[in-house]
Amino acid sequence: MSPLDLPADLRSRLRRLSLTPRRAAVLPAAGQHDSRNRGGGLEFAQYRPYERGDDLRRIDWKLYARSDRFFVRDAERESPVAIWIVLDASASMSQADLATPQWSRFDAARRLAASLIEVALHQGDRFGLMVASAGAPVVIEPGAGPRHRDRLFLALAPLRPEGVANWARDVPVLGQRLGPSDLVLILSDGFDEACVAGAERLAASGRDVALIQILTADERDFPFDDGYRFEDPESDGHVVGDGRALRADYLARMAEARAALVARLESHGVRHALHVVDETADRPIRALFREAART
Amino acid sequence: MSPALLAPLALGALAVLAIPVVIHIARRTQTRTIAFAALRWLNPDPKRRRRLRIDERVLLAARLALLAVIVLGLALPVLRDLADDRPVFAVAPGLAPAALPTPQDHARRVWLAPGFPSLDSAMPTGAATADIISLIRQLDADLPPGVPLELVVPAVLDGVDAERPRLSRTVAWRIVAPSQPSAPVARSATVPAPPRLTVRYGPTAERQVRYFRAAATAWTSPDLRPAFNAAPIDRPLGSDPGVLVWLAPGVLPPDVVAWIRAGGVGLLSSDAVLPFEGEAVVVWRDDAGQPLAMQGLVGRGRVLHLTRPLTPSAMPAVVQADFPDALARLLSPPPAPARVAAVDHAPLTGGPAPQLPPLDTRPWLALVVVLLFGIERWLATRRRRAVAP
Repeated sequence: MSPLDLPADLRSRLRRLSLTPRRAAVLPAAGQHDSRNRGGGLEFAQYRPYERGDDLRRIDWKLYARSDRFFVRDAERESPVAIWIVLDASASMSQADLATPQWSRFDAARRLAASLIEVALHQGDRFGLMVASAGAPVVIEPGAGPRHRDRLFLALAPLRPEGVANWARDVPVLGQRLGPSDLVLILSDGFDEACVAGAERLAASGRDVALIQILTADERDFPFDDGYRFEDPESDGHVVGDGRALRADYLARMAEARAALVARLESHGVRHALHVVDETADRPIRALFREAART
Repeated sequence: MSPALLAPLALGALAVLAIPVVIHIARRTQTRTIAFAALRWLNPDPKRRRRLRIDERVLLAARLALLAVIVLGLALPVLRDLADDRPVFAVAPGLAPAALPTPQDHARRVWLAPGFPSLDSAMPTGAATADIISLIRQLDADLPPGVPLELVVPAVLDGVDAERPRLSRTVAWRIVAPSQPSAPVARSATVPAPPRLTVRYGPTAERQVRYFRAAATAWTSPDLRPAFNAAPIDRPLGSDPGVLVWLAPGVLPPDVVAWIRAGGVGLLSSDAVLPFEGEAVVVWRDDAGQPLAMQGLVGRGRVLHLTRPLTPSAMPAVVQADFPDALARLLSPPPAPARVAAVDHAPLTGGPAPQLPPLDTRPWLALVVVLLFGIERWLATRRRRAVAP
């Protein structure tokens, strides 16, 4: 089961979803920001008669002098929104559930990325990819169209999560490439402090940032009944203990940490959603953008 | 039926039951290693909840049962009081069936014969029926205490021993007429023929032969020639020597020993050497109670060994008037009286209570052990058994 091949039912549900930037509300007359429509870009597209509500600054006064009528310069704009998918490829993403050892957190993240690309492709937006890993970051500049999607899939397929991602280095790399209205979607387990801090920094600079935290079902339910040696894949820390003895305490602490993370992201204006690997990939997208559609 | 253990201390071996339990617990303490990224929310020092967790309880139960049964077998379990407690109605062979009293309905009806065959089978005959008193004792010893015993015997019992049987219970002693009249009882005992003496004497013992010649002469009537043959030791014994009297020191020649071993009777002087096989008993004492002759067995023969030299000073009995009678009793003892009227030979009570041998249950336990071992192996080697960590 490749994470990049989307099942038919998921595909049909994704068709009803859309990725909406938070700033869509303040884009005048942008609507569903269909491409090739007229907007406030640099390239001239056409004149159109002035309508009430148009910005007075956009009236072409020279044309008014010739024709004694108000015309507004419209520019052809490229799609104003690029969707950046930031994928965490640190070693902790390789964790899988005991029940489904072949479906790791990274697989779920890649399926989620593929779903986001599908939605972005469907609504005509550009989409780019950055993979944060221990090595040099993989950056694919935003583009549109099925060919660009295939390019991204080609980059995603051979990835293996390992090492500790260097968020402090990678977030500025991303920041340089971000347009003012771009949408950044970070797919990570959210356990890395540097990842959350990077998201906050991007949000603080006015970017539209969303963090989709991906948890395994074991992290949500803690179904361990026996003695285990729990090892952190990104450090040499370990805890030896009986699952039953650890469970209640872990679940309380985990809920507490999750609430703290939510509060922190909310206070910095980072949108967030939770995705558990045994759920379908459309749920976090719907949860993330239903709220945005309402505002 | 009451179970019992003959060696209850062996139950201490039940301590081995701890071994499989420990095996099944110890397997649990091993831990599997798994990756867990949310490690920081795990309490690194959880409260130690030492919960004993047992793996594969069915297999453990089979192993415990197997060991328990083996230990139980070591403790020698037996079942007591398994015997049949129906009343017993025993009939001596040779009685007319029509004359038998009616037994109780549910009584066990047997012949008084070896093996106690059922009364419905054919009447046992022959020598097997001889020792009826011994059979009665055996029957009494084989029955649990308190079981009524009814014995049907003929009016005259043959082959009894000197003492009235003493049984553990009160028996019903029924006397009926035999189906065919027994042989008429001889009114006067026939006098047995006197023993024929064959004396072999050494060079120094020729003077002692006269005592035996005198005895042999005393046994026979005056008009007959006594059956007596005396010769030095180098003369052969002859075809039918009767009783051999050996009056020579030292070891007996092999042909004489072979003759005694084949069933002969020998009287040896005190300096002759022929070791007894088995125990020797004193068969002749003087008036002071001192032993004069020992009797023992050599092969199938009987040997009487005098303890003193055959001189009047050492052994005054040889010159006393009753020496021929004493010698005759010594050489051919008269048979014990063995016929009695059944009325006078009713069993007494007060004998020791029968101790019935308990049933050894170990063969059955061995069967259970084999069965349990098979179950244990099946459980331990079946395919869908979880992989032991």
